[in-house]
Amino acid sequence: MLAQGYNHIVTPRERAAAAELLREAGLDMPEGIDTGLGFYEDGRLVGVAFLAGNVICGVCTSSTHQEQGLASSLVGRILTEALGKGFGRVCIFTKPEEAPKFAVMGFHLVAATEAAALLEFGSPDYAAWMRQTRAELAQGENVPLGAVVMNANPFTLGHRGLVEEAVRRCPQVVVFVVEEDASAFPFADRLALVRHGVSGIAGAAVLPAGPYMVSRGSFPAYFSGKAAHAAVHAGLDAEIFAAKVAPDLGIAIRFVGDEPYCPATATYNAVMRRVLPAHGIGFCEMPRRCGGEGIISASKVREILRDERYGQRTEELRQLVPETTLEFLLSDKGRGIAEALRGRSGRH
Amino acid sequence: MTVGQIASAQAGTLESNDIFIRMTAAPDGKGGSIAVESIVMQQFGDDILQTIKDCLAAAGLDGVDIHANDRGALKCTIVARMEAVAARYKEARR
Amino acid sequence: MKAFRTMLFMPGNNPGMLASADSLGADSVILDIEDAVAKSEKDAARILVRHSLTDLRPQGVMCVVRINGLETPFWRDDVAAAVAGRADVVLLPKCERPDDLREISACIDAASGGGDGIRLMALVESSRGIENVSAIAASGGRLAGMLLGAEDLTAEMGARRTPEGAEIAYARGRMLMACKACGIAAVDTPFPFVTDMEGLAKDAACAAQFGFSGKALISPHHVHAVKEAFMPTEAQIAWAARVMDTAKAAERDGKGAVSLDGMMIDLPIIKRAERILQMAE
Repeated sequence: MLAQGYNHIVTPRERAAAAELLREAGLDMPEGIDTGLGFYEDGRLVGVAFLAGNVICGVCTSSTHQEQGLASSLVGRILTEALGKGFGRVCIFTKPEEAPKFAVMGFHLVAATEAAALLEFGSPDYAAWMRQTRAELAQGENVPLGAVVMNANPFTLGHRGLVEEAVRRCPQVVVFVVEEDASAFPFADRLALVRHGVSGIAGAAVLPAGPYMVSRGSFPAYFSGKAAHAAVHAGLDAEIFAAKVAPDLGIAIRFVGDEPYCPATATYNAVMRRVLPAHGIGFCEMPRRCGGEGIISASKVREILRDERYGQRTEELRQLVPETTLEFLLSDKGRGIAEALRGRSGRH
Repeated sequence: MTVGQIASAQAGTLESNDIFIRMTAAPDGKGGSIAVESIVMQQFGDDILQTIKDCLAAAGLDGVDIHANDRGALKCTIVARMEAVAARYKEARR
Repeated sequence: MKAFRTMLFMPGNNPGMLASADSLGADSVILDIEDAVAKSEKDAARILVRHSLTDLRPQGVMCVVRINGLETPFWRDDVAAAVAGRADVVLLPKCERPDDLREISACIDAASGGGDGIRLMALVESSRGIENVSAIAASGGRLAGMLLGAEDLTAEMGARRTPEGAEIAYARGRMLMACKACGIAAVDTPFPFVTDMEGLAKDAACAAQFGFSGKALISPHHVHAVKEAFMPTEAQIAWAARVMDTAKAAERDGKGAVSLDGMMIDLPIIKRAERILQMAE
C-alpha cells in the first residue's frame, strides 16, 4: 500500500475507489479510459485524473483537497505522460470554473459554456487546424457557406438527400465527416463513401471534421451514449461550432436531418436550434428522406448488415444507400466490417 | 522517443516553479524555433528565451524546435531541464 | 549533531520543493532520487539535484542526497551528481552490510579524488540490515550516522505498521545501541501517517526519549512538531546551564570533583548538559 504519492489506477480495487471518489463529486467514471492516475494520502485515494485517447477527463479531488493544487498536479502528470506517448495535442474536458487553473499550465481555451469547457495543449491547435481547413476549402471571399456535419456510418441516400437539399438553399456547402474513429466504419472509409456519394452535387465540398466537431473532446457523450450528459456535451460542441468554427470559416447556416430515433442526436439538434441562432448562425432541420419502409437511417443499414445473408438483400439496401456505398458493403472490406458489427452492440 | 521519423524529447513538469520543455527536430532540419509560454512572460520572457538559447549552444544543438511552458522556474531549473531534454533528444536521435 | 534533528525528505525532481529547502525550518534536507522519482525521470532528477545543490544551496541546512540502491543501475550516476553538487552526505538505501558502504565510498573517492569531505549515512530498512547493524555502525570511514526505515522493514517483517510503533521498538533499540556504541548519529524513521499530528507528536517524543539524534520527516508540516519534541524543556535548559557554569567555575578554580544540588558533576553529566544546550540553540 502506498502511504503517500502518485500511482496508476490499475486494479479493480483501485478502480472502485476512483469510482467512489468521482461519485462523491457527482461525476461518473469516464468511458474509454486508457490511463488513470491517482494521488494517495495515508493510503486513501484523494485525487484522480484519466486519459481517454488524447482527452484528459474525470479530474476530481476529494472535498478535503480542493485548494492545494492537487488537480493541477494530476493533470500536469497525465498530460506529460500523454505527450510522452506521442500525442502532439492533448485536450481537457472540464467544468468552466476549473478552466483558469489549467489555463495557467499552458492549456488554451477552445470554448466554454455554463456547464463545460474544452481546453487544448500542444499542436496542431485550433488555429493550425483552422488554417489548414481554410486552405483546403479555398472558397471565394464573401460566399455564404452552408455546413453539414455527418458521421455517415455508412453514407446513405438520407445523407445524400440532406446535402442536395442544403445545396438547393445555399449554393456552397461543406460536408464535414466526423473524424473520431469510434464507429463500425473506419473514418477513412466513411470519408471516401461521402466523397463518392456526393460527387456530382455541384457546390458540395467534403472535409474531415477534425477534433472540434463531434469529437471525443467536444462531445464525449456522443460516443458513450450517456443520455444524461448529452445536453451538456452537445452544448459545448454547439458552442465551439457557433462561436469559433462557423465565424472563422464564414459558415452562415448549418443543415441537419431531423432525428426520430437516437436520443443523443435529437438532444444535439435541440441544443443547436437554441445555440446557433444566438450567435447569428442559421439552423435548418430538414425531414429525413424516406426509402423502403419508413425513413432512411444508417442504423437501419447496420441492422441489415448484422444479418449474415445481407448479400442477398441488395434490393432492400438499394432503397437505403447509393450505389457507391452498396458496392463498398459488398466488397471484402465491407464484409469484414459487417462481420465485426455482428459482434458489436451499441449505437455505433 | 521518436514519433514517425522525427526525433523528439521532453523534460520537466507543469508543476509551479518548474518548466516543461519539448524538443523536436525542425521540419527542414535547420533553423529551428523557440516558443515560450510563461506566467511571467512580461517580466522574464526575454531572460527565459536567452537562457534556452545559451543552453542550446552549450549542448551543441541546432535545427530543433522548442516549446517551453514555464510556470515560474528559476534560472537554474531552466538550465537543468534544458540539460535533461537535450540529453534525451540526443539519445532519441541516435 | 543538531543537523540530524529534523531531516526532511523532498522529491529530487520537484524544483518548487528544492527551492524552498531553506525556508521549511528543517535542519537537513534529503534530496531524494530514489523512491520519490519514477525510473523514467531519474536522469532529469539527478541533473536538477546537481543544479539545486550548486546554485540554490540552502544556508545553514545540511544537504543529503538519497541515491538509488546498489541493486539498481542508477546509483553510480547518482553518486556522481551528489559529488558534483558537493552534497554534505550521501544516504544509501537498503544498506545491509559494511561492504555496501565501502562500495559507495570507493565510488565517491573515484569521483572526487578523495578530499571531498562528503560523509555517508546508511538507511537500514531490512531484517538483514538490522541483524548486521553493529557491523555497519562500526565500519568507520565516512559513516556519520544511520537512519531507520520502518516502512520497508515492517512490510518485510509482516508486521502491521501503527502510529504507536510497538512493532518497531526492537529495531529502534537495536539500531540506537549500535550507533551509540560507535559514536555516530542515530536518526529515527519518518512518521508515515501524514495527517495524524497527534500521533506524530507522540512518536517524535518517543524517539527523543529513546535518545535518537533526530528524526526523518516526509512532510514539511511535520518539521515543527518534531523540533518541539527534541527541544529540551525550560527546566532542563536551566539545569544544563547551571551544570556548565558549575563545571567551568570548578575548572577555573582548579577543583577536581564538584557537586550541584547534592549530585556529583562528572563527565557523563557534563556531556548530557552540553547536548541539551546544543539542542536548545
